[in-house]
Amino acid sequence: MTDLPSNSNPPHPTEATKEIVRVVESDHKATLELISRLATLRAGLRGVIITLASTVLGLAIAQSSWPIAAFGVPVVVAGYFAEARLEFLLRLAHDRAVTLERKVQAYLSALVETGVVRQDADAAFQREVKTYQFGTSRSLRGPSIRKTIEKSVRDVMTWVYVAFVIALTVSAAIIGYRQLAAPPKVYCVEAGTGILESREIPTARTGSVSLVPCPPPATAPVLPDSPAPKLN
Amino acid sequence: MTSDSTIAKELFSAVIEYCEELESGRKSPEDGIGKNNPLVFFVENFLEQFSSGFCRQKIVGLTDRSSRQLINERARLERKSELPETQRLIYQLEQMCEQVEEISYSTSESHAEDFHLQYFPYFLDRVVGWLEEVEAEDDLLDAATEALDHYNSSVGLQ
Repeated sequence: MTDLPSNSNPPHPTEATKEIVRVVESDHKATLELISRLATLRAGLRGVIITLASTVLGLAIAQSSWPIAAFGVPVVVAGYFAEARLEFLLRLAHDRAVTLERKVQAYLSALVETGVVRQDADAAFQREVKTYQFGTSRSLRGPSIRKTIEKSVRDVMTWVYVAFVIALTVSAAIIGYRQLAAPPKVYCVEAGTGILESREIPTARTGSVSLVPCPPPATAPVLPDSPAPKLN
Repeated sequence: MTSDSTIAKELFSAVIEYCEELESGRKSPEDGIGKNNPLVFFVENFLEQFSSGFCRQKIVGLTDRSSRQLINERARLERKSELPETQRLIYQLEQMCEQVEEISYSTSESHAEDFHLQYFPYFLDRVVGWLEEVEAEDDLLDAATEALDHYNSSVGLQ
């Protein structure tokens, strides 16, 4: 069996122990504040990106504009990376908070437990104290891009962003293809009459509908008089 | 009291299999602890079998409720001042109930490492201590000791 710590139960709580727990508590409070700020920032960013992506997608479809749809793709991708980064930091901070809570819980157990279990509770608390490092900043230092992306795969919001990227890309492709295959229909207004007509008029405009003055009608060529064909 | 009818020695093969995966490099102590983790499976089944044969009621799952039930069982033994190793085993099971629920949601590699390198070997150690206390059959004690030694060797604690 594994050697256990000595059976001498030190008196609890010592001044040193109390001081350690006070430091852990202040660390925990700071970590919770950081979690709160990160969560607020993430919610704000998520709101902006989703709203922007929806607007761009709607505008691209309404205007039949593939450049608008294409513009939305890098915006959503940038939004995804920003949120994934925040989410990763948030998880690190949450894990840190759990670790600190475990240390305080070990302290409480060491205070409460009596009898044969007291030895194990003391050992667990000593272990928690020895592995303690002050400060949340060091835990959040330099999260790698690879880990950020790996962890984000399990996040539902990642798939929402993926859906937006697919929707924008497909929209851009369909709108672009349609405009290449068939030029947009242009409505024109007859000068003087104000009658709205639909004519196929070549235009470089990317929108689906435009209103322009109708071009003058082509004059029919005047043919010379010819004798009527003879009928047999 | 004997543990002969409570714990199946085949249960320890789950630990041995996990050790083999650790040794082959397919698993690592840093891997996250999911609900289908073999060690969690082992602890859950051990708790169920242990409580069926020993506690006043069967305790299922590593949950807060299970933790409270175990605390009551331990308090009962404390009042009678008997079976110290059993009390220590129950205390470790309480820790498992608290830890596993928490760790299974965590993405922290250090939490997973703590579970593999601190909590689980300590728990196995308490299992062996308990089996010695209740004078379990030799083959059951051998299976538990082998699992403990194999595990400690696999994670580099020996």
